[in-house]
Amino acid sequence: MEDYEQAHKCRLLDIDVLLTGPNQRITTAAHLGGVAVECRLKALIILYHNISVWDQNSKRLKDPLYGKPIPRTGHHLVGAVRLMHVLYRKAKADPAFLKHLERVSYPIGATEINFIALRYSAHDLDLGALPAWQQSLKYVLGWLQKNENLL
Amino acid sequence: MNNVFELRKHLDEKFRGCYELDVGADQTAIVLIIDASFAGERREQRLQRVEPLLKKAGLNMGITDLYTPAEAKEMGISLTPIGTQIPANWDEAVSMVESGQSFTSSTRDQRRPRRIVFYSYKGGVGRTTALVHTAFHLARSGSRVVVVDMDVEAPGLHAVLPKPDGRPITAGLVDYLWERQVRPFDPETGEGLETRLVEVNPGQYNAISYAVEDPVSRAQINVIPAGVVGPDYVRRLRTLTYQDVLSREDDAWSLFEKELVEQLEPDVLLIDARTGLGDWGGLSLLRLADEAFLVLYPSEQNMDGIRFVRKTLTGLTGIKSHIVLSPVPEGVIGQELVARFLPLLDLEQDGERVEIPYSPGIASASIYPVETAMPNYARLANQIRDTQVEENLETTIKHSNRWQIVESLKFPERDARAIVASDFDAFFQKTSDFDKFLDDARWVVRGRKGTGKSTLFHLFVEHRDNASKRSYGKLEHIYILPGHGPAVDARFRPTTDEFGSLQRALEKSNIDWLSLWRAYAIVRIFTSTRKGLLEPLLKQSGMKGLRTHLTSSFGSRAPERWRSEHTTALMDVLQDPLNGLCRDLMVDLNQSLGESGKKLWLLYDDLDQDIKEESTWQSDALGGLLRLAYDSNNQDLHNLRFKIFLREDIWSKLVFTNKSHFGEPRTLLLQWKIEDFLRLAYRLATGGSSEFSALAQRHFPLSEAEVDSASEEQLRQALAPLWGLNQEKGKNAFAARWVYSRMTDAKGNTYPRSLTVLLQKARDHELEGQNDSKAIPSNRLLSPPAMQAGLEAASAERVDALKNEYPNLKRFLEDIQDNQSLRSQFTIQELKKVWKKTSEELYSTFDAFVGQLEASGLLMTKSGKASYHYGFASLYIDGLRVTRVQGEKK
Repeated sequence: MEDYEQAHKCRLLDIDVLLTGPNQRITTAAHLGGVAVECRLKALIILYHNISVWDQNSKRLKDPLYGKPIPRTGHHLVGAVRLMHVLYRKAKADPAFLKHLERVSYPIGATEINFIALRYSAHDLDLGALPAWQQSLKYVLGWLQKNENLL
Repeated sequence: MNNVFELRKHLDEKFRGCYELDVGADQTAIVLIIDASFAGERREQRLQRVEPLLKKAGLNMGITDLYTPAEAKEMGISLTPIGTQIPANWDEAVSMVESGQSFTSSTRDQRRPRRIVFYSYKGGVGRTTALVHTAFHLARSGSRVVVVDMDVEAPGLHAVLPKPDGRPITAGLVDYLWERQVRPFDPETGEGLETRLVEVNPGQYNAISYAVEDPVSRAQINVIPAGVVGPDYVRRLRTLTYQDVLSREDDAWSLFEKELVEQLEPDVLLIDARTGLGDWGGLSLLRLADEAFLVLYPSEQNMDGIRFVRKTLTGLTGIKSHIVLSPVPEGVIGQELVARFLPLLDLEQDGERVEIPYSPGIASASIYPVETAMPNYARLANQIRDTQVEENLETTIKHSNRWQIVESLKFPERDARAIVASDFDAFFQKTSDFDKFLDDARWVVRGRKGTGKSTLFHLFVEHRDNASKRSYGKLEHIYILPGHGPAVDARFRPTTDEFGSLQRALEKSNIDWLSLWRAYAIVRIFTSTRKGLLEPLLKQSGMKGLRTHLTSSFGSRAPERWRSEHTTALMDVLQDPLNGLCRDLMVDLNQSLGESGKKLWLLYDDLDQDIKEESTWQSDALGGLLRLAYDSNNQDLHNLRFKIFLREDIWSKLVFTNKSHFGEPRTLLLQWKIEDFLRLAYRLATGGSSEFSALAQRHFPLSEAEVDSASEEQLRQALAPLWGLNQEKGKNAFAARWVYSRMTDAKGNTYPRSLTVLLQKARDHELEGQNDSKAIPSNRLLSPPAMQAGLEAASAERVDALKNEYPNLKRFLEDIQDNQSLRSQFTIQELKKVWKKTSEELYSTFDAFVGQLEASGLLMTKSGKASYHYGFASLYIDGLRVTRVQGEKK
């Protein structure tokens, strides 16, 4: 299986490079930001359910998915959180997390395309929106790290 | 909370099976919809279709993912069916209720026992005591009962119901579940296990259950304790995972129930649950309970918890939960406590709770059950049986052709004559007033229009055989004749105009009405089929003058019509000496009847029509007849009885000498008690449709003779196939009581005709919805919306009847209907305003107007503390088309 934890770290380094210097590549950074969170979540799911391949049955006792196959989550970030019952309950209790996760999922705005579809975007993002998006990415990753001990 | 349920309904309509909805803190919506209808739309357009729905439900936009199936596939997104299991703890339960998720109880697998959970938020309120006594009630009525202690953190059931052999218990449910969760064992042979449910070979296994015997009925109850409290117990309890319960077919609880069915085959499993909002109490109530009793002492400490538990249960699983107040102190203190705390529970109906009075016998008991306390718990057992009835009914209806039976229902309107004649066996309903009517000493039969006075009159004067059928020998020695009224045999009678002439003649001659009624009674007998009673008496030498006059004026056979010559002839009888002879003849007749062991009843009806209403002499005329009844009795003429049917409002306004002697024992107020009303409904439904009759008999067999003696509870059950046992599935309010209370006016009167209208409309409404996609109730023929439509039709019919009965109120009623000038409840000022506008000319004082509204049964006067002074009786609310004030239940 892919090394999602490492992939997540690499994508964060990519973002750093893209946003450093005078020629910032914001669209790509936003796309990769979503991918970084996606990778992080996938790494957590594997840990949480103690599986070694996708579609393996969960070995996490006391979880509603115990004994059931854990599917590969694709690019659906909240769907990935949802697969981890304990984490999802925490997430639901924190509206700020949900708000930031939404911005990572839809970097241009709630009514626009998602972070995956950004790869086909011919325009670079508005520079003014960058700080808010960066704050959201930081919050989501920080939140996941802080609550990782639950897993 | 309800808004999110509504939102789910909308989403179901638009995206059935294609969406996930969850709600986080701050009402933040988390939505995923994968639907082909999004094709060709930009995200903004998709959001415009969904966002208004979320906002309408009061939700904030959180994360909303909207994709077509192709997009979802490309992105690896799919709907994940998580959380389809009923939660096992309160946290998850609340979360699900907030996101509008619920688990309507599906039909129970009939092989497993019904799980009835006894729960209390705080301890020490008598929960276990209630469970134990209920168990004995059920066992005595033939149910196989198992009681199980799931108060695992403070077990004690085994102390209340100890092993009969006096030996201590060695294991319990906790050991049983723990072993099956933790240890490897052979599921086929059970090898590797130390516990079993019942003892097979003594000493081989630890049996966790034992039987105790009821000393009264010798019925047995099986007891399953939680375990032996000690180090092992605590360790095992700590490692048990409650979430596994009922999560898989081979989980420990499922194995427990499997063995329970194999070994004990109980009908009911009564579970003594853990208190508070912990995991084990949550598990019992949320995941296990098919029905729950929430036991509490009426105090602040209990209210919030029980209200929360009940609301969550109702929102999530919809199971029936009953409130048990225990122990309620005796007397005023207890009543005040209940009155203070009951409203805080937001019950649908006050009658929903059961009150268990404080019992010193229970407090000091060492052996259970405590026989003197048993009656206090009978209702709990009845409630459990009621649910059983509902379940059985579902099965019965499932195996019937529901729509065919609904279609076969017929409730044609029948007039009084038809009911006592051709339709007698099928439709005549003997009310509890019937036997009182047979009492010789009742002279006045009072009742509102439509309460069945005319039915009784026709029955007794025209259909003697039918009357005898229901009188069980009491009419054997009684002759019955119409003294006045619309009987076929009494067509020869004075009506309104002739009574006017008689009044003028009486006034002119200064003769009283009593003499007229006496003379008229003799004319009636003389012209009747019982003329033979008078003939030998009139042949006496002293009676010659009277005989000659009667024969020449009224002929040997009853003339067809009353003519003016008869008015004159009747007036002539009032002149001496004939008047004196009339008095003598009455005495002679009484004596002659006495000698032959007979009695003669003269029945008077239609006096409200024939004695001009509101005339100056109405009171004199009717008072004269009533005095004749009283004087005859006073003169010991006990073999001659007068029974006078009068409309209640006329009676109440009537002023005459000796009215004070017409107390409770002398008059009979016809009222339809709930049992009468339900009997009528049963007769209407079974009499009109043989298909329904067959269904009803399959469900709750009731013979013809049993219908008249059936209790309210039996009738509720017998009628359950028609309109359900409970008003709605999962609710406690009885459908039968709901119908009765909605069909009863502010004076406690109920109208048989309204019931016919209600049922006919409900039946038609049900059939109209036959092809709708709405859920069809599985446990009744007439669904709650159909019954509501029926009620509206019956209410409209009653308002029309009220306009006819009280013409002076017509303008007021029409103003309410047309202009909505009042709501269902109102203040004195609001009512005064409408009185001034519509009725001041007819009722010069407001008090007189209010008095009339009250007498008509339309107006209810509220207690001093209420926000409104008055309200309309619920029977009339829909017919008046008024708006219900906030919080008033339909």
